[in-house]
Amino acid sequence: MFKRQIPLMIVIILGFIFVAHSFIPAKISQDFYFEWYQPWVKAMSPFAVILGIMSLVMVHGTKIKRKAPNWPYSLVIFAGLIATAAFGFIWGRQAGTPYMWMFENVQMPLGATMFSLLAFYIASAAYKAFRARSPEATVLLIAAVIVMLGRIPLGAAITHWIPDSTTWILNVPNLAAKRGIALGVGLGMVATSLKIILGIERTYLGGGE
Amino acid sequence: MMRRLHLPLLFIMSMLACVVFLNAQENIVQNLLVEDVPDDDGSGLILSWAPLPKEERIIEYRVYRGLSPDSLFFIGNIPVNAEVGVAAEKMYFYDKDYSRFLGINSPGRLKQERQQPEGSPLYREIPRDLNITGPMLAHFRILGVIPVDEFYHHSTKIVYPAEAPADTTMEQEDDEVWAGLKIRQLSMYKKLKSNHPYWYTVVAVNESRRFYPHAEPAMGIPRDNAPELIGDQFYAAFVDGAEKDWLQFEWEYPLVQADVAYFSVYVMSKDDLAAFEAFTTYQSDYAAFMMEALNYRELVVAEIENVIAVLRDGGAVAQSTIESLEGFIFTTRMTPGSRMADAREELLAEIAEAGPADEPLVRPLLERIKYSATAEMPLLMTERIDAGEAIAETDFAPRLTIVEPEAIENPANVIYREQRMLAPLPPNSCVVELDERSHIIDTDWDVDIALDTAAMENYCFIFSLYDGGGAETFSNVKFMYADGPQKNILVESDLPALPDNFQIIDSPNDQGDYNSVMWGRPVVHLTKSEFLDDDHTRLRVNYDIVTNELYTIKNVYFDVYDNFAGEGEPIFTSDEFFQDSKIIVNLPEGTDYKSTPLTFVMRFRTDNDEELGENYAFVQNLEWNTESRSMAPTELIFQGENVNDFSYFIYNQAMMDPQYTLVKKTQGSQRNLDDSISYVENVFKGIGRYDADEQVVLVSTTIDVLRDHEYEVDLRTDIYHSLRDEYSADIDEYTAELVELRTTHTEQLAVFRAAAALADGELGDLARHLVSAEEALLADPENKEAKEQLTLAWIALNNAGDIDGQGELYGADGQIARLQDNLLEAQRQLENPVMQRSFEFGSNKSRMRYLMAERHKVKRTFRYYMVKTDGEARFNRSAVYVNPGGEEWLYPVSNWFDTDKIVMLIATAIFAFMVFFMIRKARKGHDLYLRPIAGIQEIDNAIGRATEMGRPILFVPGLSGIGDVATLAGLAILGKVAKKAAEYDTRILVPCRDYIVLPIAQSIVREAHYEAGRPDTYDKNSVFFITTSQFAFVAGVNGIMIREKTATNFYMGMFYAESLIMTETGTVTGAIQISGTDAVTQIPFFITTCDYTLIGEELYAAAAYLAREPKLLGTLKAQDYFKFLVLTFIIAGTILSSLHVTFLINTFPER
Repeated sequence: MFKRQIPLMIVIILGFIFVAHSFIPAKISQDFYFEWYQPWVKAMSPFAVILGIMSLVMVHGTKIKRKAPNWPYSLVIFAGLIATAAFGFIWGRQAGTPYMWMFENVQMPLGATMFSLLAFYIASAAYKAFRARSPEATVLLIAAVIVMLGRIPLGAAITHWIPDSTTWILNVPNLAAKRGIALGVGLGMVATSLKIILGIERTYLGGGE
Repeated sequence: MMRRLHLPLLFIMSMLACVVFLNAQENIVQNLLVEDVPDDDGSGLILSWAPLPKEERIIEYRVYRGLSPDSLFFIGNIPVNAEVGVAAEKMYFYDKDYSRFLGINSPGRLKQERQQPEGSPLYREIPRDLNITGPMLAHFRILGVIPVDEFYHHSTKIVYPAEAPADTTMEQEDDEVWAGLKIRQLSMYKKLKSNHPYWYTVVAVNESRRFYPHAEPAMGIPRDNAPELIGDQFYAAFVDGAEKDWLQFEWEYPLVQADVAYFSVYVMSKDDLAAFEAFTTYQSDYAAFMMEALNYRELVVAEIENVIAVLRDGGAVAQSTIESLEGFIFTTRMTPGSRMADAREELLAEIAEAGPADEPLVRPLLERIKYSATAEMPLLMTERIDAGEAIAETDFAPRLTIVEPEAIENPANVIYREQRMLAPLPPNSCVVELDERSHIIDTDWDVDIALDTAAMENYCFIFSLYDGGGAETFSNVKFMYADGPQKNILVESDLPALPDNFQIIDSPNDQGDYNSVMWGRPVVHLTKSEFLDDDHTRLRVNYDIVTNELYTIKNVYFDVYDNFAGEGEPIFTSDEFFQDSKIIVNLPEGTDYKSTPLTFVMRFRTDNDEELGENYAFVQNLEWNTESRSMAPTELIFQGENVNDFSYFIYNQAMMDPQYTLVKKTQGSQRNLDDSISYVENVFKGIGRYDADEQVVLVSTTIDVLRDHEYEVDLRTDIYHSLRDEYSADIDEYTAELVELRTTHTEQLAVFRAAAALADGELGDLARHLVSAEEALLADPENKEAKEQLTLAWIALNNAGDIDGQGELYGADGQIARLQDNLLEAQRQLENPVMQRSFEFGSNKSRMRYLMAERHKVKRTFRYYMVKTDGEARFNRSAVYVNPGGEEWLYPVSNWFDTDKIVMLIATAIFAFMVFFMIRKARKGHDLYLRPIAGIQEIDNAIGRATEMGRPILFVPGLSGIGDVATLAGLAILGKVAKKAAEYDTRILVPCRDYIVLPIAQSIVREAHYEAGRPDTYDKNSVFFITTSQFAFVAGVNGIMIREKTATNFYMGMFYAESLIMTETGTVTGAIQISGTDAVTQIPFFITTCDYTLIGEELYAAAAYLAREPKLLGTLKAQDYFKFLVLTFIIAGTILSSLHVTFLINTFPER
């Protein structure tokens, strides 16, 4: 019983406190947030890292143990994990240390490679989106062509209507749609928060009732 | 096989050899120089050195400081980009002002710097170990920043019992009591000490983090310099007032101002200009003389170091050399019996015993001499040279004879002087009043100067800054002009009019940390403009409104004229009922805007129109600018005055402080500012002592509590006990001393009275006037006016001449005045109501809690005044602001409700009510219609598809943490999906990016399996952590999709740039994909690449849709109704504001 009730009580009480905090500017309210809540969050975060590492060890340990397909890659993961941690602990994280060398020469290029793939995927997605197979898709195609032309000097060279239309499309229909979504999202957030604070929504505790 | 490896091995070996060779190069920093920072208070040194070539790929230069070249600690670094290196010929590092010395982040113990050979003098930062750091404290000016709680309640009381007196007739001294604080309880900041040598070195570090050997340590000595020159930045004005005359002065403070102690204004006749120049020449000569004397001392110190070096290397030094060095510090002026003389005898004995070649014994003695020379000698040196004694008369041989320049008196007279009492500077302007006789009187500084106000042009004024070290710097001489552009002989009406409504209120809706300062009426001004068409007939003009809380702007009216001559018909008018900071001006065809400016006349309608009046209009032109080829705004004119010709200076004074300081200088078009009143978080204490056994630094136990502004007395307490007994004892002592002094004074007055009776002429008159002033004060010792009269009488008499008994009587008066001040201060400490209340507390903790609450309140209580000025002494100063309640001291209080959020609170309450209502309705069995959402309806089918294909489901709960509501919504959907998957016995894979989301997701999936009655199929490793790195996570997820060939992919939560990479990969693998996010920027990507997408709020609704529980459906329905309500307000607001009715849109906060 307490396994559910105590966390639920904590969430409900703290939920109401945080609601109150957003309406109360008094010093005690600010101190609660900045002097109590934030330091606690900072203090707890490093412990949560252990959970992540444990999960990694369990998943990949099992793979190695069972000689699952591609299990040698799990060894690479362990090697990377241990080497990065060891380099950081032994030589620190300043510029020029092995840790930073690995970060700059392994992590960053690999991340950049993944990110650069996005350019090709955007082209592919644009192709799919702009195929004029329906009236809606045709409108989308025309709007996209205007916006794209309006963003480059060629558009203005053809006629000033193109950049003007670009601005209008972005500032009126596009912004209206974005604000409509934002309105719904805002209400959805408030509703979800309310459900959590009132104990209606309990999935985050690991299950329904 | 091995043969094939030869070539690669050879390549690797040669590369390694190159690396070793390159690393073996010793790149030592060259030309390290340590110099004094000019114009400062003697606490700054500049290090300079030649940077190493770019090819060395240096990434940082590390700087080390020590008290000797033997031990140097890391104090800071200059990072360098290895790619570009340093282009400049020299690099600089400033060791000045208060900078971090020691704190909780300092290393616990002494650590040698990395990669240093045995015996290297380099260490990492100064350690927290007080056995090592403690002795250094005396060599710096240390400021401890102590959190209030640590000081008030968690310091350790350290008592050093006083030694019993050797003689029973001697008085027993009090025990020494200190507050001890561990290093972790405070932060320590240091300033260098003047005339103290410090050693520095620099180490270059290359990109492989190789520490090159350090540069040869260089020594520098910070010198206390004269304040920085302020040149022409001083202005004077004489104001011929209706009732009285006065002088006004204004100045700009220099950039370096740390030790400026006094600000003075001098007056002199123009005839004295040559004499004043001679005086300033003497001043520079004297400064040069002092510098030469100090340099001479350094020569001797260098000689001592040479001797030490010889001894260190095993050489011998003649006894006479050591004694001659010793003689440098102890002069014949040291009288027998003085502590210095005793120390000298002791030292001589030790040197004699040690012998010149006995290095281990002599060296510490020489170190002591060196330290004494650097720390003590300047005063002794000056004293001896001032006295003009022959150096040969002393007990050591002369090395240098320095002659002090002959003193010249300053011909200018002080008319105003103010002492700087706080770190922030006092106001940069002053008013000096003339009395009805045209005399300037200031009893604090013995000023009594008569001016001929009819001939002010014959006078000139000088401003000076006087520093703590005794050096004075003068501004350029300011002359007086009755007319012309520099006119500064003014009448009262020449001064700028102060704005109305100068008010200060406690800022609303804050935690009590702001006061709002407001003045004047609203201002509108043009900011920029732009033509919107090629014909240049449509001009967009941006404007800005500056107002304060006293006025709510309803309309702004713009009348646009071409060829404006104060009247005529405008070519365009605009009524800005909703102020969006821009108007579109339609210009009639043929408007010649390039040659004739467009004139804008701008008026307001506010909630307080009567006060503004009809003539309240601003005029500003838009002129064609040929360079920017646009219409640019010109000066803003209000009632003939350029608004920005004047500035406003707002000053405040804390109830705890003795002086006003500047809050902010604002432009003439500003109308308000927020003054930040921070809470008291720290106590600042000087630190010089420590206790190595207890590992604590020692700070004074007393602290200021209040300030008695009537008597200008700081009221203090001790954190361990009240000071009532001490002050009572002081009162008894001062009273007894006063009785004794008054007896002597009566006798001296009798002698003087007799001499005064005999004196002739003006001197006699002044002496007799003084006697009557003395008698008036004797009759009533507490009479302030009588005290002032006596002071004035003394000024006049001391200026006039000298008669018998004058010096003795003057000295006695001074002593009595000082004792009375001391007595008064002690009495105020006991009589103040707050202090008296504090004496009643039984426990010290309660007493301190009460006193500190009072202290913090007083520290945050302020009073204000403002100055409107043209920056050149033409200013007007307001009276100190008094609120409608009659209070001038204002204290900002912490607010309990943010009234700006009242609409939000009401909306939340309405929404909560709707939720309750709809849940209740749903529970009663009402059928609540929910519009179908394709993405949600397809979830079951998607799971079924994976089951049919026998492949796993992938569920990504977003990339943000548990604090994001979208993640919570995603997890809620995960619960439903996992339950369905468990029922169908389909494997679900949940990769997590956040390690706090991980255990929650694991728990949700486990519970789902239990609920489905399939706990056996739950695999903990199916919910796993990948990495926190964004793109590494994507790579991991994509790998899973490809390897596991997932049939269905869910993306529910918050996503960023990686969304498209994941979903495109999913498309390639042929999975059915359902996504849901509230990230507006990612929704288009999801719509394009996924089969179904939950847009924004649908993500939050999905769990309720799937669960079909009344409670959850109720909230969904409430959301829909609330959206309808919002939409109603949007439409109503649009219609109303289109009809110039703006109350509705103004009701809602902008953010």
